[in-house]
Amino acid sequence: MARVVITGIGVNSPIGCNLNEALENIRIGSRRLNHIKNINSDFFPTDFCAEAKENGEVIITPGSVDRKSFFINRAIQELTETNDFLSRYSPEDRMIHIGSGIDYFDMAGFINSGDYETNTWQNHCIRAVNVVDGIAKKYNISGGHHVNVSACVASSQSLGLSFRILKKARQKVIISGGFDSMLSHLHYMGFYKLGALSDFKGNAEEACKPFDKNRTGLVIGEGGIAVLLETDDTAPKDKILAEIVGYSSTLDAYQITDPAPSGISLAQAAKEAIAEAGITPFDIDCVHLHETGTIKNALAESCAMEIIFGNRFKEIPVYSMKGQVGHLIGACGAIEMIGVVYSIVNQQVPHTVNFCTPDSNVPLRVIQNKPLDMKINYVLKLNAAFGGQNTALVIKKY
Amino acid sequence: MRLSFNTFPADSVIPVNDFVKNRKMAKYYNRETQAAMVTVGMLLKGIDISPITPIFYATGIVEHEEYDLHKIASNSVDESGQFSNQLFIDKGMAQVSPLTQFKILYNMTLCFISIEYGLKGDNAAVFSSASGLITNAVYSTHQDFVIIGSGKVYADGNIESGFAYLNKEELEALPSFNSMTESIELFRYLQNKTAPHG
Repeated sequence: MARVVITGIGVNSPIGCNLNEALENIRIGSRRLNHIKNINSDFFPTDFCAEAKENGEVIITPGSVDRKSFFINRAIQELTETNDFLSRYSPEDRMIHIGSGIDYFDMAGFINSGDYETNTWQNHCIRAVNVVDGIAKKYNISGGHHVNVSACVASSQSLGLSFRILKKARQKVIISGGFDSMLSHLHYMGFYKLGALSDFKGNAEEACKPFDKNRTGLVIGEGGIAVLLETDDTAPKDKILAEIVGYSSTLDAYQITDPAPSGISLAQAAKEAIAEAGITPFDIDCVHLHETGTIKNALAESCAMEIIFGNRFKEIPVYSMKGQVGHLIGACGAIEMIGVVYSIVNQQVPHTVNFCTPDSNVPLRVIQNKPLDMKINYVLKLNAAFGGQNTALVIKKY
Repeated sequence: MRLSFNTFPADSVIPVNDFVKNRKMAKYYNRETQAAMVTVGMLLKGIDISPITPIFYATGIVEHEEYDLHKIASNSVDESGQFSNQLFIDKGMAQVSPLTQFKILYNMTLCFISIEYGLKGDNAAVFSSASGLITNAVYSTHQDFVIIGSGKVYADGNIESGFAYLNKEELEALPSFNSMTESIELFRYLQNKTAPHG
């Protein structure tokens, strides 16, 4: 079995367009939630979002551009500029396993072109699978390329599958991660119709409140995050950021709309990932949770924490990034992996922004105000998806 | 290996209620999911399925189902024939049921099957690729049988749906596919190689 390490991350996201910028924004607790700027949101019933920013400014693109594809192309470009993996591995030794969300649809283009009259919609839809095929061709990646579409666990499942392939030494290098943007007319309003978006009345920066007693729902984010994974025997040692040592995915089999309130299946995923890492829950130093800012997600994760850690569950520091970047859906596990790398590299648990009022039903140790300094060897990363899919990854200091 | 493969013509009624216990859930299904529930129902008939059985599903590239796009667009056009933000909100999106989102999200078919059969094990929803589907299943850490499936709604509205229940050895023996080969091709291949059960 090979050891699997993270040797680079390219990122376009609300917290920045390179890894150093993203790590710094995690450290200072930047809150990047705002009102939509890239599309006209006049008449929208709500318009909170977290758009990708570069040097603090929202990246503006025309309506014909699929933003998630734009972001992942830039993120992979960054990866190639900061890691020489393309010259170190042959095309057959390179793969892409990446997560994504619903395909982009240009509603204004569909109408303005007149195509709506004949319902010729296919030309206005940009498919993630074709985007990734284009990336594979551009970078001469011939070991295989696949897109996971498991909603909010798409990118963490992609990381997990990549880990499994490399662990068995069946491949040398894999670009994993995720890319998604629901910040288009159709997808944003579709999510609004589901009733999932935050109905917070106040400052946009506070619209997503993970773990808070007064949490009001999720805020949609966007981005493209490319995570480079290699086996440690061929990876340049000075590039290694962290090591993945365990992964599992489970299903709630409960309801299509809500997470299982017991958190049993989420806890099961965590237990399996911890067991694969060859450790026990006592070895986990902190937990980076999925917490979206919804009532039910926080309750389910709190129950899962109690199952995993027993009496210790109130003592382990936890973190959620979504108050800073919103919910990147098909890319949320990937952007949150940057939070995990932050913890490993800086030996700190970041503070969860917008957490002000503890909820007695969610008695977790949420870090407030500033990062917590502590010795961190193992981080447990949990994510959960609409529909009941769960993932757990265990990441270790290399 | 057990295999179930079905074709449903565009205008056919898919008998999904004959294959699901919770018929109230059927209102959330798109036609690909309806076809999947019938096909996986036929596959698993008579099998005492373990709840930790992994399931991997690949949704096909959507060519036909348009999820009210025409209705939304027709109601979002201003007098000059251009997209209107106000009409989009006031009239266009008002045509759409909240349930539509369940028909659009690509992981829903997998999750509906998991709920119907109580499957809680390893899983993934893959976009279209036969090799992606096989890769996920082959690298599952579960050592016993797995379920793999795929569906495809073609431009003419016809639907194909395929599922297989197979062990690790059978998985490893599956042929290689190009990354861009649609997952339904795997089941068409298996259909031609293997006599359907029952």
